[in-house]
Amino acid sequence: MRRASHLVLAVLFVLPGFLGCSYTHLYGEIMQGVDLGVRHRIHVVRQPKDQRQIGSMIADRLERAGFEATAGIGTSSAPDVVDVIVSYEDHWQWDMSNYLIALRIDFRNPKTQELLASGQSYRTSLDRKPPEFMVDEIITTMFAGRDEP
Amino acid sequence: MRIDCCLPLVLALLFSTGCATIAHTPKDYELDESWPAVRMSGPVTVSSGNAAAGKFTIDLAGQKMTVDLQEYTEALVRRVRAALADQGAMVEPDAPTTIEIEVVYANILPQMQNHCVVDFTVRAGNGYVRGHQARDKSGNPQKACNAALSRAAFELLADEQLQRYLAGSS
Repeated sequence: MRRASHLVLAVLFVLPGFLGCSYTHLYGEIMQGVDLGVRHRIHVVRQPKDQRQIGSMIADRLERAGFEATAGIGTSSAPDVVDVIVSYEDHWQWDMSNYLIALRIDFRNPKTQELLASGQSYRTSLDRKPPEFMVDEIITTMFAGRDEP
Repeated sequence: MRIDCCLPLVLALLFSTGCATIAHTPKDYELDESWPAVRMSGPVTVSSGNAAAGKFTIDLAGQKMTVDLQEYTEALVRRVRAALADQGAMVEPDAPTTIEIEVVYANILPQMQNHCVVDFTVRAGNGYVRGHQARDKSGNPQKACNAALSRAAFELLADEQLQRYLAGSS
């Protein structure tokens, strides 16, 4: 009886730990009153240390959504006229291999830096997905319920 | 050890920690840095801008935290007013110099520590508009967002173009 109770308690304490390894939080929102449909030219500001080309993945996904999207390091790499500047931050973690645990993407007005849209995906180890997938799910969630241009 | 006595307690604890929703009411948080020095040309009105903003739920690995962007805006306005008053500024309801503040978005990246990110827009009476992002981190998500709001007030007062407007030189 005593051994069994120890086993039950051990399972109860270990189980939440496993549940914690499998967790996804996905969010995307276009700010109230913002119409991204009229802002066609988007520039993704690549991070200088981004060796995995996440900036290009975001630009490619936005191209598929109908925007004219470019990607380059710094705002000086942007075409002369852009309607939206996109920035992102990626967080990586090690668990048997390196994986993208969190990605946040922000759309801003290039003149005022006002936030136009924001999205993020957070995936723990057992829910890990490739960066392309996370980029896609964030942009898809952002535009959910709205027409992409 | 009798399992039947503590099992309900353990189960209740697991469920309560997994499903709890916290409503975060912003509280004051003191930053270590000294506030940016702001020169004032006269009295200033600091007001909040997003009356229509709603509540927003942040998912934190099973736990949820509800924030009210209007409350966040009000808290940020209070911090900016207090920081200006501490520097001797006259903060009045109908001054010719005006700043309107609006928290437009807040979220948390639940990593080893909770990174609270607060996005806000400031509009000055001279037509100047600027979006800012402030962030801070803590093991406690509420504390992270309290700190991020204080940092937002700090960054707002460190905005050089806004400083020039407040000083009457733009």
